[in-house]
Amino acid sequence: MLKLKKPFIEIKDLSFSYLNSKKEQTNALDNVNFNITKGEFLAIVGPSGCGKTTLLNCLDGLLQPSSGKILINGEKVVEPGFDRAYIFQDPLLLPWRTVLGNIKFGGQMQRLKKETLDKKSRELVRAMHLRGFEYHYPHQLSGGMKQRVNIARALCVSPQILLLDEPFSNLDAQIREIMQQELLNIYDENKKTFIFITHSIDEAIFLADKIIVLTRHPGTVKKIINVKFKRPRDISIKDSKEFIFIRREIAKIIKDEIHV
Amino acid sequence: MKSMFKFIKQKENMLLGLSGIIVVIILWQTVAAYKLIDPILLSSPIDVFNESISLFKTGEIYPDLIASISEFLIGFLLALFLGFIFGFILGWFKKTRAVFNPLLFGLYATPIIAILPLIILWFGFGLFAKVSIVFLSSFFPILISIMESAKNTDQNLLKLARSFKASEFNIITAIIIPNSIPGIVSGIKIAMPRGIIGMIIAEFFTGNAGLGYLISYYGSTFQTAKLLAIVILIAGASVVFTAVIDLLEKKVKYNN
Ligand SMILES: Nc1ncnc2c1ncn2[C@@H]1O[C@H](COP(=O)(O)OP(=O)(O)OP(=O)(O)O)[C@@H](O)[C@H]1O
Ligand SMILES: [Mg+2]
Repeated sequence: MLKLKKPFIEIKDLSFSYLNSKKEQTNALDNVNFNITKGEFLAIVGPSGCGKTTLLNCLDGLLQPSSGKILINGEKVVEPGFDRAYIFQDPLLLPWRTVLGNIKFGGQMQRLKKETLDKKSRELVRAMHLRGFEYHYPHQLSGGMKQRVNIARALCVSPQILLLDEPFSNLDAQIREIMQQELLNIYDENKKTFIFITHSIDEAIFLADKIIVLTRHPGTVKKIINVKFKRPRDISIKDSKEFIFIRREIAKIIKDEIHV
Repeated sequence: MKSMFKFIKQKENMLLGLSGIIVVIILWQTVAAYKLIDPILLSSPIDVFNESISLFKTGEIYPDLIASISEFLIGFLLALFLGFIFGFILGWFKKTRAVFNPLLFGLYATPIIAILPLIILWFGFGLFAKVSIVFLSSFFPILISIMESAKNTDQNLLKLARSFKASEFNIITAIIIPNSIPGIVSGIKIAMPRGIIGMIIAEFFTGNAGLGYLISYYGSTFQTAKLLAIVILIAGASVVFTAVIDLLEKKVKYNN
């Protein structure tokens, strides 16, 4: 028999319910199962409130599953780890720190060496087009720049897995497209595993190798779609037949989910 | 000419405030010059001004000024230091806060001056009693505003720190403390006048040193001009302190 290689990340029979103060349960995730390959760009889409953020919190170890488990490299996730970095929807920059100070924040929490951190943060300032703004404070930045700092802060701890929760949803359409392209560049350069939540079907197809479509609340996996565009990708693929086909397929699933 | 108008426009509120003060001083001088009120009850502003100068020139004021400053500094800095430490502890540890909360708000609401006789009974008439009053008057507002801002730290920032595996110690130093700085400043702003009032009244009662003692001494010996000079000195110092804190407050407001 062929010996199967273990998947990088395994999500096994994962269920999660929130308990309120009156001990009433809200089921957010119900029996979710899928695997993620190392270096894959995975997108998760699904109707609002279906449990996407909850799933990402479980992956990071900020929440513990009510049943089932998540394995990374065969090890059960029980708390946040140095191998993962979470990029929240709001930039969550510390208003009393400069751009550079914010980028270093995660690394300082993880007690990385000062010289390493100095070097790395300078590199990221360049890579994220923040040069000249090193000593600006968050209130002096545009929404797009704040989100770049947010991403740089996560990259600064050199994680193996990036967890992104709708990072571009508060940006206007043009900035959003630019940021998508930049994120693809980062992905191509770093070859890390990206797990990306979005409401935008187009965004998911443009970025991802694999898209997980969740059912409505409580979420479970409805369909897994592989996206086979070559990398590096550019904006022109959005006009291709295949792109439009996949978009229509996902849109239909989500529409059906909302209207049952 | 144009720039003059611009200057007036920009500083309008300041100039209006200044004109209010000037009008009162002129009225006061007029009343005093025509002896409309007995000079024992109200001295003229010019007399008060001259007395202020001579209080410093003769050095009459120094021992009491130094006594007051040291009482205030010791009491207030102690309140700041302990308020800081206990404020963060109570802000961070829910259970500890639950134990002390009612007690604290009770003490905060108590006019500390009411327990002055007790303090004198315990500590006598010396420096220690007065330092205690300054301390007690300013400790609770500082403690409570630090506690409140530590407790109200944005949950999302805490989540962010936890996602980076930050230790409890790092969360406190990197998030909770900087996040509370505006709270600390506003605590100081409330505590400072309370401390000054506590100090003056404590000096009235202990009656041996300090600006409060001088006021009561000049009052009982009918040296009205000197009395007013001290009062104005204290008021002026309070105004300056408040202005400095306001400035500080603007600086730490992060503009978000
Ligand atoms: N702290 C909480 N306590 C109780 N219920 C919660 C809590 N957070 C989320 N929920 C519920 O769990 C379900 C899933 O929430 P979640 O935030 O994971 O959805 P989502 O897919 O990320 O939604 P959106 O697309 O709007 O961001 C929702 O029904 C929500 O009401
Ligand atoms: Mg969400």
